[in-house]
Amino acid sequence: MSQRVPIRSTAKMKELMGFYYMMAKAAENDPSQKIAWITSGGPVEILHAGGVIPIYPENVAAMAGTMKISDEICAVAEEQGFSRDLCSYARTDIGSVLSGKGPIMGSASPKPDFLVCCNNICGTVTKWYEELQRIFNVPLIFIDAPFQYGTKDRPEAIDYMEAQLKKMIEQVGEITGNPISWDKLMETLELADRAVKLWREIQDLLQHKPAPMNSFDTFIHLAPIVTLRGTQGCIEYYESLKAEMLERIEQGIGTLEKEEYRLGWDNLAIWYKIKFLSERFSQHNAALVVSTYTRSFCYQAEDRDISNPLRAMSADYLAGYINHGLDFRERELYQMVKDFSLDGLVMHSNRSCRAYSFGQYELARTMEDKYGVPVLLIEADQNDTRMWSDEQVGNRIDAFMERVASKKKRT
Amino acid sequence: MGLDVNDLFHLFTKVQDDLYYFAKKAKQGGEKIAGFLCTYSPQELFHAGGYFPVRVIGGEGGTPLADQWLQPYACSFAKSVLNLGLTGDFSFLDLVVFSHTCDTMQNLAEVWRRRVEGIPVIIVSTPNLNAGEIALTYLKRELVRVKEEVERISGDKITDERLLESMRLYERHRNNMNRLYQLRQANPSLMTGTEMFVVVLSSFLMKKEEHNTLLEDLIKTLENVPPQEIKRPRILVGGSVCQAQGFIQSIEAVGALVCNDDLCMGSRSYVLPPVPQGEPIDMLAQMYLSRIPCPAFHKPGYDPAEIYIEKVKAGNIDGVIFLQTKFCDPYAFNYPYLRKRLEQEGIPSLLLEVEQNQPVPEAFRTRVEAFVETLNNR
Amino acid sequence: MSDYFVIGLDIGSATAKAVLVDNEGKKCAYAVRPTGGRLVQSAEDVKKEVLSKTGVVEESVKAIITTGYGRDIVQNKTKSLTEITCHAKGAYITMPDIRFVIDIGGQDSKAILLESDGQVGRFEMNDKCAAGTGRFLEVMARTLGIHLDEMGDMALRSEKCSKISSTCTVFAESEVISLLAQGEEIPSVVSGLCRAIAERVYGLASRVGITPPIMMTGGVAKNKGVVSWLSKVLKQELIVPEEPQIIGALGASIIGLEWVKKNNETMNKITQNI
Repeated sequence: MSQRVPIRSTAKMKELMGFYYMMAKAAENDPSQKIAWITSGGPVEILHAGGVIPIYPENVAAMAGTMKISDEICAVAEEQGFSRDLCSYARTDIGSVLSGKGPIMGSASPKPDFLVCCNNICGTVTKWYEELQRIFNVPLIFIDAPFQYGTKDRPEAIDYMEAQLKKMIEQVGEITGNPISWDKLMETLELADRAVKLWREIQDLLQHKPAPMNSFDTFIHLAPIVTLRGTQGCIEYYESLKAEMLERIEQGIGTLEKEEYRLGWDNLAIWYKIKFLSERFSQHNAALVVSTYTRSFCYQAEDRDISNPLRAMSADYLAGYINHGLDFRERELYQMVKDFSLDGLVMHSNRSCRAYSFGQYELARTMEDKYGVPVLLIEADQNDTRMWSDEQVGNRIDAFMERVASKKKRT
Repeated sequence: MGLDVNDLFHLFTKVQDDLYYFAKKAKQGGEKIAGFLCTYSPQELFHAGGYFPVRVIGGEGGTPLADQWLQPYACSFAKSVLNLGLTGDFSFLDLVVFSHTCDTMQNLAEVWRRRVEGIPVIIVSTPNLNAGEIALTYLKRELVRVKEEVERISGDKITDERLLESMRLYERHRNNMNRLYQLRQANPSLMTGTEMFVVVLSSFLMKKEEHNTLLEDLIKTLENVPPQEIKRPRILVGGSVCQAQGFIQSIEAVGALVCNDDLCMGSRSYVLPPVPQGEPIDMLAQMYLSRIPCPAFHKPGYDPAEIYIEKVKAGNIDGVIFLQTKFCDPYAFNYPYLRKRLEQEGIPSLLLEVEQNQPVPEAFRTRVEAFVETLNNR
Repeated sequence: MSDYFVIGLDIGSATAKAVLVDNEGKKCAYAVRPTGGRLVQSAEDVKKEVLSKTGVVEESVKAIITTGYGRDIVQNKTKSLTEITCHAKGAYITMPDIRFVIDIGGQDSKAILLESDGQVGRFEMNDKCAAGTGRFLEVMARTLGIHLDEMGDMALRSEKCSKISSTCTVFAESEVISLLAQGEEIPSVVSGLCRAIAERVYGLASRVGITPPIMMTGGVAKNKGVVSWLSKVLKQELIVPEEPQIIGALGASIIGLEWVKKNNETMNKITQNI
C-alpha cells in the first residue's frame, strides 16, 4: 500500500497474530488444549472464557487469498465436486483441509475438537460447517441467528439467541470437561465490550480529514477483533493503534499526498487486489475511509441491556449489517456518507457472497436517486482471482472518479 | 365414481399451459389468492385465513427486469420470480409469502418488497435450526405473529377450528400424494415420470380440496393395476430444480423411466409428519420442525444421502440424475457428499447444471442420452 | 484560419479514431482505421491522417486527448480520459438535449445517463461478454456467410424474426446453425440476431435507468437492423449521429479544447498580474 508514513502498529499486530497462530499450532498436539473452528460472526467470547483456542477458517481463507495461493487450493475442493459458484472462502477452506496446504507455515489449520457455526453472516456457513463436520467427525454447535427483515430487532429473536447461547455455554463446558464459570464469562464479555468500543472509536477517527489510515488498512487491522475479541491482548493492541491514529491526526498525517475525495466501501475486501485498488484510487487522490465490512465487527445492538450482559450479547450477535434487510442497510449507508463526509460509495459485487451482494443494485440505485450519492459497482470476488480483470476494473474506477471529480467541482 | 384416467389428466394438465389457470379462475370467482415460495410456509394458516394458497414458480423466458435488481450470479428461480413480479404477471395475488430459507431467497424477499408494488408481503422467519425445544419455541411465536399478520391483512379472524380443519385437509392431501408415490415405487409401470409430474405440479396450483378428489379417484383406479415389466433404465431425479417437467420429459424421451424423485417440487413437499395432538399453532410448529429438512436448513445428525440410498434400493433404481440449478448453494454443497456415498454404494449418478427459465438445451439431452446408454450397458 | 487546433484520439482494441477540431470546436476532419493489434502505430496513423486531410501542422495542435483501451500507451498526449467521459461529452456537443447514450462498440457496450448539464451520471459497461457487442454480429455474419454491412438492411427487410434464446455468443452460434438447418431464412435469422443484441443492450441500459432523448453511438449504430430493434425494445426513438463511431474521439477533442481555453485564461491572468 502506498502510505506516506507507514503505520507502526502493523508490526505489533503481526506479532500478536503470529503468537496466536503458534499457540494454535502447539495446541494441535496437546490433548488437554481444545481447539474450535468458528465463523467470523460467532460468539467467540464463550470460547475464550472456556479456554478454547478459536480458529477462523474465513481468516485463513482470506490470508490464502492475499498470498494468492487460494486458486490452487480451491481446485482441490473443485475436484471433489464443489461447484466453482460456491463461496470461495468455503472452497479455499475445504480445499485446504483436503490437501493439507494452507497459508500459515504452508500447512492447513490445526484440526478442531469441535465446530461453532453462527449463521448471522450468511447461510453458506451452515452448509460449509456441515461438510467440515462430515470430514472431522466432531461436535457441531449451531447458533441460528434469525435474519432481521426490519430495522428494529425482534425480542423473540433475541430470546431465541439467548437460549442458544446459554446452551452453548453448557456444551463448551461439557466438551472441555470444565464448566465455564460465570465470573470468567462476565470478565470475557467485558473485555470483548471494551475491544469492540475501541475498534469503533478507531474507525470513527477516520472521519477526520485527512483520514489517518484508510479502509485497506482497516481490512488488515481487522484480524484481532475477529479472532481475539475477549482477550486482554486484543485491547492492548487496539489501544496502541488508537494512540497512533490520534498522533497521526495531530500531525496531520493522512494516507495520500492529497486527500481530495473520500469514499466508502461495501462488502468484503478483494484480498488479492488490495494493492492495486489502493494505488488506483490514490492516483485519483481518493481515499477509502470507511467500510460496512469492518464496521460489522463493532456492532452493538441499539437497545442493548447492559445490566444483563448475556442478553446484550444475544442482541449484539443479531445486530450485524448483513443480518439485516435493505431498509437497515440503506440507513447505515446513508449514515456512513454523512458521518464520514463521503463523495461516493464503492460497492464490491462479490460473486462469492450472495448474502452481502444481492440487494446492492437496489441500494446503489437508492443511494443515487434518493440521496444523490455516486456509486461504483465492482464485479469481482473476495478470493477467486479468476473473477478479476485489472483492465476492466481500472477502467471503471477511472470513469467513476472522473464523474465524482466533475460532480464535486460543480457543487 | 371413478373418472377415466385420461379425464383426470385432462384436469391436471390445465396447469401446463397456464400455471395459474385455477388461481385466476378462483380469483375471478371472488376468492383471495396467496402465493408462497417455500414448502416451509405454513400453507394451512393461509388456507384457514380464507386464501387459496398457490405455489409461486418461475416461468420460461428472459429476465430483463429482474436483471436490473439481481446480479448475474443469482439463481434463475429467483430471477424468474422477481421478473414476473415486476411485469405484473403476479398481480392476481392478494398476498405473497416468502420464507427465510437461503441467502438468495432472503434478499429476493427484500428486493421484491421494495420494488414490486401492490401486493402485501409476509416474510416468515423460519428457524434454520430444524430441531430442539429452543427452535420450536421460536417457530411457535413466529407462527403466532404470521397468523396475526394474515388476520390483519385479510380482516378475518383465524379460529383454532378453522386452522385444525385446514391442517386435516392438508394432511389428507399429503397422505394421498405419498400413497401415489408408494404405488409408483412398487409398480413404476403405472405411469411415466412425465405423467407423475403433471400430478405433482398441479398439486401446488390447484385447491387441495379439488386435487384430493382427483387423487383419490386416480389412486382407486391405479391400486389394482398389476405390475408390468420395465425394460428401460429406472432413474431417480434429485436436486434443486423447481419446474421439472421439461427435464423429466427429456430424460424419458431418451428411453429411461423417471421412477422417483428427491425434489423440492416433488416428494419433499409431502414430508410433514402426521398432525399431532395439541393446540393447532403448537402442532403446526412441531410438524414443520420435525419434517425431513430442505438442504438450506440444519438438522443435527441428519444424513442427506440416506433418502437417496433408501429410494434407490426400494425402487430398484439404476441411476440418479441430479438436476442442479446453477447458483443454488445449499444443494451444491450437498452434492460432493451425495456423489461419494452413491459411489460407495455402487450407484451411478450424473450431475446436470440447469437453468430454470430456459427451454431444455440440446447439451442436456446429449448428456442424459450418454448416461442412459451406460446404464443400458450394465 | 483558427490559430490553434485540438485532436481527440479514441484508440479502441479494434479501431482507432481521430477527430481534429479548431479553436471554436468545429470538427475539421476525422479518421477511422482498424488497429490490426498495433495500438501505438494506429494512433500515430489516424493522427497523421487528420493532419494531412486539413493541412494543419502538428505545432498548431495545442492539445491531444486520448481515450479508449489504448489511451495510456499513446506517448505524446496532454491527458487521457475514459470513454465514458468522452462519449458523454461527444454526445452532448452533438446534441445538448441528449440525456442518455448507448454505445455499442466492437468489443464492449456502454450505457451512460447524462445529467442535465451533460455531465456523466450513472453508467454501466459490458466488457466481459461478447454478446451485446459488435463482435457478436461479426461472428454471426461469418457463420451465415454474409457481410457484416449487409446485416442491417437484411434485418429491416425481413418480415419474420427468428427467436434466438441463447445468451452466450458461442451457444447462439450453434443455435443459428440449428435454425438454418430447420429451414429458417437468413434474413429472419439476422433480424433475430439484431433483436438479441438489442435485448442484451436493453438490459444494460435499464440498469442505469433509461431516460430519453437517447443517442446511439459506436460502430454498431450503423446497423439499421439493430437500431430498429433497439428502438422497439426501448420503446423510444433513437438519435443516431452522422458518424456514430467518432463520438468518443469528438468528445475527447472538445474536452481538450476546454482544457486549452482554461489554460490560456489562467496564463493571461498571470501575465496581467505580473
